[in-house]
Amino acid sequence: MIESDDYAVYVANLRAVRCPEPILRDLIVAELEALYRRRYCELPEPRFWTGGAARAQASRDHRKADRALEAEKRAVYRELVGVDWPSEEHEGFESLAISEFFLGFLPEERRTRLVASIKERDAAAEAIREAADSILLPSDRAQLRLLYERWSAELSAQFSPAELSEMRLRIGFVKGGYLDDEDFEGVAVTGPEFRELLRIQQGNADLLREEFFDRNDLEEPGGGARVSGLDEPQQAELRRLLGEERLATYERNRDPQYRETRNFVQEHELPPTTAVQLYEVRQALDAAAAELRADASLPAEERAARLEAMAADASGAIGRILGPAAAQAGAEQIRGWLEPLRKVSR
Amino acid sequence: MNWRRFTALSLMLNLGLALGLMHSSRTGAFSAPGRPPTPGGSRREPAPGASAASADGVNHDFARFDWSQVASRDLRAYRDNLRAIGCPEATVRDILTSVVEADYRERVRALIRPYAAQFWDTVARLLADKKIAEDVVESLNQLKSEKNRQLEELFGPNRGQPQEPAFTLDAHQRQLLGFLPEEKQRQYAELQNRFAERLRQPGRTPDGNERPWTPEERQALEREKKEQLRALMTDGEWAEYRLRNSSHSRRLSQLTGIDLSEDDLKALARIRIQADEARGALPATRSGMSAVEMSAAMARRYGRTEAMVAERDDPQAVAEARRIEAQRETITRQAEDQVQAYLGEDRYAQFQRVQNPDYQQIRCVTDRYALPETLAADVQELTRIARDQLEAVQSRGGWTDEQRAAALAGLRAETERTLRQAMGAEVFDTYRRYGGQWVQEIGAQGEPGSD
Repeated sequence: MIESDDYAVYVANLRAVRCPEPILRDLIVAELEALYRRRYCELPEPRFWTGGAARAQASRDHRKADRALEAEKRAVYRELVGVDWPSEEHEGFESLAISEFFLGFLPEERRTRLVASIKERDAAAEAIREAADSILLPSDRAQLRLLYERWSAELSAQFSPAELSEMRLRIGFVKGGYLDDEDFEGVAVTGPEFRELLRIQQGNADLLREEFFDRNDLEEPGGGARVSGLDEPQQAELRRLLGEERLATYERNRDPQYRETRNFVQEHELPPTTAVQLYEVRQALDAAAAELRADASLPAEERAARLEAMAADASGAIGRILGPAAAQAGAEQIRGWLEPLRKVSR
Repeated sequence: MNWRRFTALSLMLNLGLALGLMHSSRTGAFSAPGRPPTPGGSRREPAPGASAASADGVNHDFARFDWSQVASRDLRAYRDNLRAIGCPEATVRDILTSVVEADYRERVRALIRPYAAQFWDTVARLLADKKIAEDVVESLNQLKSEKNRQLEELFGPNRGQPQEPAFTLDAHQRQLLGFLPEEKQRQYAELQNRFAERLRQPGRTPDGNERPWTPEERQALEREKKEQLRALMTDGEWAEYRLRNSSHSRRLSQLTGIDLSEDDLKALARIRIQADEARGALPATRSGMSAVEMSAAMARRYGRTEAMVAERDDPQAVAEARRIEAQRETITRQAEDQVQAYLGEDRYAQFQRVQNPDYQQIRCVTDRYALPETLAADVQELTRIARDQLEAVQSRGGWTDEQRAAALAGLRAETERTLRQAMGAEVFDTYRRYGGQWVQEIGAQGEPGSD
């Protein structure tokens, strides 16, 4: 009999008959899954007619026992087989593909270790939150921060600086929502350029840390939200990377006003160049209006009258760009664009 | 248009999902049926830290056996070889599934590897050509289908395992049905399974074509299920089931800040269920009445004059709606009287307080600091006063925007000062994060301060 009531003997028997290691691991996973599923079902449930604090406590105990079982299952597997519980492989092709794509630069063992360490870290974080009834006191936050610092130190010991930097960059790439094709319309970039662009935009932000802090309702000590936008050195680096023309197009693509204008143009089935023309009119109008508002030498009435006139001119210019049909169809939206100007002028 | 929202591979580019998938450990694992126990006995449950078997622990009966004697590139032969040496069928299935899965996992890796090797180039190309992503997703789906087909060829439909029941008792249902004998729990699960299966099958037109179920058909099916559930249980069991299955029981058992025994929970749930039934038994409304009823009730609740409603709606219908609404209110009041009589004055006051969401939130925070219950009650009273004042400021007429903004700013400062003083600075800061956000929002754009 290869099979045995003792898992350790079962594993040894399978190895003795030269069962391929992947099959052996899958067999043990299947066994442990079934065993721990049964044990989970056997966990004592709170009695139905239990109310208030006793019920809440019983539910907390149940979840704690559940987490303990999960951790035990993984520990037993590691003990028996000598490697971490498989992660993405047993969770479908999509997660395997995700892992392969994003973490493909790491050897498989280290990839599995990384995912396992994230799971362990997050289970520990969940235990802290659970014990706190999801109401975190300063001491709980300190515990969570410490947990992250320890995990981060372990990570630094296990992965090279280059691997860590690549990991942060890739996580930043997905977390920061940088892959928006609309940002890159008319801006051709190579792979290395895209990577560099991302590196510049991330600056010194540690997105692994931000991800954990966001998820656990933590704040950086003394900090509010990270300042958005690029500082001057970043802007300069970006300019060097893309050159003036591509940078201008890229920035325009990212401007919500341009996006709104482009959507308008698409909605009214106008040529794409119209979006740029319209956007330029709106930009020029905003700049002139800002200049006018800042001119303290003008009396308020005079300023209001000029802004009103500016809005009327802009309305005419927009009408000429759009043509009568689109100008009429989009009249309400165009009024909306000019309304802030008029409102201030009143 | 942002194609990221519309392509499946874009999911790969979502960290939340990526990490979520990697994190998810056994979602749904407990509702799925387990693998049948391996013939030959279940394994001894290992304790963490148990040492791996030494070579001495190996069974030498099969010393001359080598895996290569059964392994084959031909999966049918592999399967048959395993069966021939007496390998239990469940283990045969696990082994072959592992072989097939490993093969397909390698194919998935091979599919992704070229993209991963050129990760940043791939990303840059994706910006210009979304078809790359669509092709990868299609290939993944094809691989999934091929793999399932291959396993089906080896073991028959559903890999030779019994059809997974669509309905099994989850933890909540086990708790819900804990009062029933095991056999009845099994029958309950089967019944639910049967009806779930019927609903999964599409309806049919008279000429046999598939069509979705109509709402009436669904209701009829629900009625039929309820009748069969009723027939499954004795009168006593049915009463207990209905009591447990009501939303009132759930809500009552979740209240913190009051000790309710089993008898209390049952008595209170019973009163509320009876009130629900009494309200449900009120005269049937004629067509269009419910909307009128609602508008009449809303008018009263929000202080609109009935004339405003009557102007717009049929006056006769409004009168009827008013009568029904009055009956409803009477039933609700009588039920509250019953609750009060059952609990007594002091406990009823406590019961009313703990049902207040503000109180529950404050209580959660003060409990974390192990502060006395009375503090939560005091703070809730302060929040009630502050909210009343907020409403008064918001609804007061004749103020300019500036006057109202100044009043709201003053109210916010005063509320913060009062609550901070009552709770202490740290507790108040914690409350502001967990339930007390409304204080900071007084007078801010949007809720609750601005008009």
